[in-house]
Amino acid sequence: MSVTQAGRTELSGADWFLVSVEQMMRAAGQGEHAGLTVLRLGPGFKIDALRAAPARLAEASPIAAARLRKPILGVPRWQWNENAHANFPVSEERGAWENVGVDLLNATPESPVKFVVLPEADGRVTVLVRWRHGLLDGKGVELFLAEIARLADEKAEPSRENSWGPPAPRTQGWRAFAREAEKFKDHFYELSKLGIRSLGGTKAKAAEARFFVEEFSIEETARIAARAEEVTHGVFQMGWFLSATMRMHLAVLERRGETAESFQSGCAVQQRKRGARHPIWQNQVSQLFFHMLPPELADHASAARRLNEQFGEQTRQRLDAAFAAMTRLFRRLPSRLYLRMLLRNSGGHLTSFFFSHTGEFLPECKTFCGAAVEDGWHIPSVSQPPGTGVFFSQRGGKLAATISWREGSISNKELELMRSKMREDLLGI
Amino acid sequence: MSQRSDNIGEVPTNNDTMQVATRLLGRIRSELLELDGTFGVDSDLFAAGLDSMAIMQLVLMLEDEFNVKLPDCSITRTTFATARQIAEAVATARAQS
Repeated sequence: MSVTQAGRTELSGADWFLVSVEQMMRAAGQGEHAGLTVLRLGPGFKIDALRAAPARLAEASPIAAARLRKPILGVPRWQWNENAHANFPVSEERGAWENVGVDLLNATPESPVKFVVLPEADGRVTVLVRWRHGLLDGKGVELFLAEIARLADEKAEPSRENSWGPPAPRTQGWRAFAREAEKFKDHFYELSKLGIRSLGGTKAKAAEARFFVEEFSIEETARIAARAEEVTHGVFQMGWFLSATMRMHLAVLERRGETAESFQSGCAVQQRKRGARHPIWQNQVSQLFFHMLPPELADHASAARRLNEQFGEQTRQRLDAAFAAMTRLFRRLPSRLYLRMLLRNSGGHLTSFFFSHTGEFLPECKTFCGAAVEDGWHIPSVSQPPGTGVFFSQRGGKLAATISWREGSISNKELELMRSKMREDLLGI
Repeated sequence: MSQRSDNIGEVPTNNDTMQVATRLLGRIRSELLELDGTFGVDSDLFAAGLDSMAIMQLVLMLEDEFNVKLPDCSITRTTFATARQIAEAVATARAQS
């Protein structure tokens, strides 16, 4: 889709889910659904290169200046005036990145992407990138940063093709499409019968976004991989880390003297072809949904195996394609009705928690604006409900785990319990 | 952006296995990974972006297209490193069944 033709694009199924959740968040006083990406860069960073590149990418990305249009029972669209361009501002600040990051996550800037550069005394730099989740997903942000890095080379031109657009449905005919969506409906209602629990409870209320990043060393990460090998075979990581996340949440509930009917969480399934540079914009993901009963979580490795079995079963049934078909149909629902349906079927919790393991962080970039990318990770903010999320990724042989929450959904002691439970399961200490 | 072809290492392979590897690579190219024309049966699939979901889809593809269920012990990073190595695992699984 070239810039000269496009004035609008349909939202993807994932876009409309996130925008609907964001409307709940805004109404409750939680602000915009944002993500924060942290880049740890070595010496040699050229801020002038960063200042120049975003403006050029903004010219090639009119969707970043789009407004949402939703006809009643129609498909929602991003619409833009081709002469209007978004701004991706770059500023320089001082201070601890965690403090600056919290302020960024809880602000609502006018631009969908904002860069904050934090120089350090030894010549290194931390770059914080705040982004609007309604327009970008985690992989999209990485492709965005890769494109910025490429444009920082003055000879490069911004790519103008295929940078946005919802994923094309696998099934084209309406009947086949409806049959595909039906598969997920059956699965969804089975999950609904189980009942779930979240740490934040069901009330959508004003609360600031908070986060903690647990950084594991190279030695610790290797130890985690060795412990996980029998379950993961080095390839299926998701179950190992999702099991640990469920057990972290169960530990907090047990300390509260409570339990859960079950834990359920979605795991994003990337719909872009791996290795593709585009599309950058829009949420290009479907989901698989995993569930465990508290007794099944008694042993970490056993639970991880069971979750990997669910992964295999659901992939065999192509439930990710079925979910994508279902959410495409749901785009026609008004967001309040959509959200009401999701909350009713989840007992008001939406989900037990948000989760992802996104693998290698920013594999497309060894350098960024003149400096080596030494480390980095994403910090999604989460809605309340459910109140918490745990997100894993890896860079340079080092695992990072982000625990995100809404103020009030967990206490400081409960955060420490989650951290120690996670380290106990992953490291065996 | 073209994918760098990291050949992990060629080993002598019979014709059947080579055919399987070539067919597999075609399916991988069309459905799973963005690959350029230089990417071959000995190129590094993980370097090209192969992830756990893609591996799971490949496992199911082997069952559907080649009627082979790989044993759990064969589902490793080594097996899925290249199209040729996957094809050799398929040949081994067929011989043992």
